[in-house]
Amino acid sequence: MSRAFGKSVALSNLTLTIGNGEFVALLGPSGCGKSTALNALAGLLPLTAGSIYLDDRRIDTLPPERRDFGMVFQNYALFPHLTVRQNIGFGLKIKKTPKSEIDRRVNDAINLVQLSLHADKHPSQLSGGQQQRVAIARAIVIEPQVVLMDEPLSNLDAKLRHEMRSEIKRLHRELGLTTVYVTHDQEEALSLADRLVVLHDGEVQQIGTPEDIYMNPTNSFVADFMGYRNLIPMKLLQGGGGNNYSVSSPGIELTASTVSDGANTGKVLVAIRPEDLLFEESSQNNISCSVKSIEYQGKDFAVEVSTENGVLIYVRTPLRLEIGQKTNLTVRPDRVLVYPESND
Amino acid sequence: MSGVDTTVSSINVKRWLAEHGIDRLLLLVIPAFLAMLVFFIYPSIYGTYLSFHPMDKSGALGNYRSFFEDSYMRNSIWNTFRIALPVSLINVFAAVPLAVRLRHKVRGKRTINTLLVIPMSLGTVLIAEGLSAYLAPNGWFNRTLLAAGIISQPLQLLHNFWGVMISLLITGFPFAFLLTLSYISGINPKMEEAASTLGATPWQRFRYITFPLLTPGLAITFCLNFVLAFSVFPSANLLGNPAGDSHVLAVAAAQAIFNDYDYSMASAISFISGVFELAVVAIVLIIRSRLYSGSTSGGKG
Amino acid sequence: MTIQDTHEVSHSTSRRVFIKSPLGWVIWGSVAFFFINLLGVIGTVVVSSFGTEWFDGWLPSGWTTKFYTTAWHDYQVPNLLKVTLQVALAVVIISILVGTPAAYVLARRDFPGKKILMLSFLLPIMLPPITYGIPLATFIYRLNLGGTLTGVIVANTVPAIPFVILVLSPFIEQIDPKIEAAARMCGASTRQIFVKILTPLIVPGLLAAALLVLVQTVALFELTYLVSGPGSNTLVVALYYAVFASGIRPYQAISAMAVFYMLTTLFILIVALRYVNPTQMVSQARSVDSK
Repeated sequence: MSRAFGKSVALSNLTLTIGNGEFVALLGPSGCGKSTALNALAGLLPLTAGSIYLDDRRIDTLPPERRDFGMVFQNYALFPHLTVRQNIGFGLKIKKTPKSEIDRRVNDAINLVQLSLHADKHPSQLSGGQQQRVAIARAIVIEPQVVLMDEPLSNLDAKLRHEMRSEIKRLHRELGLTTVYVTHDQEEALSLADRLVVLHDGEVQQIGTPEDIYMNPTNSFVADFMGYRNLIPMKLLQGGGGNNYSVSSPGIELTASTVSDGANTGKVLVAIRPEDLLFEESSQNNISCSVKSIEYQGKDFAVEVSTENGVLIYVRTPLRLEIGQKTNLTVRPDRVLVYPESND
Repeated sequence: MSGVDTTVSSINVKRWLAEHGIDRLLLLVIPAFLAMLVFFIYPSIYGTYLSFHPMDKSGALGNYRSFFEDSYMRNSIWNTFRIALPVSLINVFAAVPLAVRLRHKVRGKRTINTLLVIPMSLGTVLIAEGLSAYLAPNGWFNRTLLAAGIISQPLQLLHNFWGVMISLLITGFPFAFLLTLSYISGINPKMEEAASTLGATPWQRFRYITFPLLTPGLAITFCLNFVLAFSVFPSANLLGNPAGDSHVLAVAAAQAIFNDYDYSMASAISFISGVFELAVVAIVLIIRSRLYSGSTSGGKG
Repeated sequence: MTIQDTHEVSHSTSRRVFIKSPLGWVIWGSVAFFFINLLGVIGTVVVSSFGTEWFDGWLPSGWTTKFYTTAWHDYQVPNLLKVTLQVALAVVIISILVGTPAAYVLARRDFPGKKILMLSFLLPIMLPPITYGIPLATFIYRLNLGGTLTGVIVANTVPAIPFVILVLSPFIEQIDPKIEAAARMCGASTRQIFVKILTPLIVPGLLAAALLVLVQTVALFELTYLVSGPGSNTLVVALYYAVFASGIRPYQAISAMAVFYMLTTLFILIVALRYVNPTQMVSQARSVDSK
């Protein structure tokens, strides 16, 4: 599907097939089109091109109230004048479910999200995390075909976010509802999703499993977004036989075995994870550098080193180093990813 | 020792003042407050006092007694209500559908808003004057209806209660509409989107979400409209029947001043009018406080 | 579930179904009805002011502008315009000068007795002019200001000051108090903060308040009616007298008078709307609600 506002295209050429019970995450920075996609799925935004099918039934011509999707909004959008119980039961009431069944299902949902103590309160009396859980319960109690979630955790503080993430994972395991989840947090996406769709400026960059995307980003944007913090402009020289290519820049000579299509000899961008760099000596890919700054992170250190030519490299290591220390870095050739210089 | 004591207590006083936000800045509010005191609060108190001292010296409640004993005067209360209540109700409830439609960016929204401000600023006098010609038996309104065959005789819309009502509807509806629009715009549309994802049709969204959240605002709109209609004066004189069924409280009070020079009686009538009007407002506000009147933004952020 | 880009022509699910539903027709029909009648009311006045005689028929039997000159002289329109302008300007200036500091204090500070103070400012807006106008008129006559220009100005200031306060409060509240704190840290005195920082920032609010008070004062009938005299009538009061005491003057002159009034009001309104949003004209009522 696509959606364009006049000349600006908010989303183009998103083509995706989602299986029953699958958890798909739409991932990308602000403005990349992920919320547009979700809202278009829900029917809150019209498509300018393309179509949406649910099991061979075309639904993009239907208004939201007929699509049988549940949605969790970023700011929860709870009904302030209704209690938690009434909020959750709203969808069932609209469907004219018999009262006894509404009560039963609402109670089940309240227990599922552990809000039994607060069932008769109003949203304004609840904390952010509790409001979140009401929003989730409200969307799932109607047993929709698909649950849509629009950055539901972005308004919570860090600790609560981790807790709620586990909650969402647990709910998905227990209920098995097909879910489309929008987020800008790659950690969230990696931990929750069966498959990820990475978006940038309205265009799909890569679709794959979390491990796929984490280990083998298809372009420098995805690499950057997924935490390949070292993006070094280098020159690609001819291969040294087999799958090995040489990349070099003043002061650094590396052998890389993962080169993406489109990277020709000449200028390239080399992406290396901070975790893949080791403070050791090895037979190949040695970089001499000196330590510039150290950040204590608890379980390891975030270290910034500089080569003799002033290139900054970011490393994560459990080793305790000292500022100014002269040392050596190494990295495996298959963890040196090479991309064309520009992504367009 | 006593020198230290006074210093300590003066520091305490200063601290108390500072904690309660009292400082020289408050002097800025004095001129406005004085103006209100001298020209509003004092005259009102004085007027009430005056109402208890009737000109014919018939005792403190003399004015009130003669007001309620005279059926012509007593009926002015009923006349006023008979006009003000229906007009306010119609204005408020007619404003709702229009505000719902115009809430989103519809073409012409700004134009309609601007056009609606015109009757409000032209004021009751001009509208009344215009209506007195427009609604006349041979005025354009009746002519059009006759020519279209909708009626066979001209409608008697002047010199009675209908003319006054129509004039109040024309000047009061825009106000009710703009106010309702402003309330409805304060309701977070995401809530209605959420309701639609839960299966609610547009009517169901209005009935269960929009309208309950709008009701407190409607109560206020009603009160304000009622206050304006309750004090109807120029249209009652110009379009109505000031000696008959348009003998409203304001007319009675003005007549007491200009015809009888009886300021005391006029004050009494104002007082009665104020009491009744505040009673209605109080009842509506009490009902309103039982409804949900908190934030309409639907959650954090 | 499948989402496909099929390169087909779009099916945009439009939600703009307003015009199509029957309720939509009723609503737009009523709006049209309202405006047509409004136009008719205004039109009647305008047309009759240009007519020679108009007893029966859709339009007058002839056209003339002589009644405009008649009205101009008989009703002393230039004098009326002068009085109306003087009153309006005086009321605007006084209410802004007095109301702005008060609005500032109310927006920034909490203090014992604040609620009572606010009530004293809100009452003139919540009560109809007749209710407090009669005691006010009595008082003004006692001060021997009855029938004078000063009396009219004083009377109209009473609802104007609270109005200014109510309109300005949201503007002042929007200004982050930290800006003033920052100015103080740079060494500014209170007077300098007011003049150099606050006033420029609330200029839109001042403009809105001034224009709204202007519109209100020109249109406000009851208060001026109760305290004015022959030399101190505003346009609207003179119009009322003209209609009410219509035995002598020809009705066309009355209509011409009404047109003068209408043009004045519309002119002010057009100026006001350049700077003020129509919904702001009723925003004062919403702020009442939040208090």
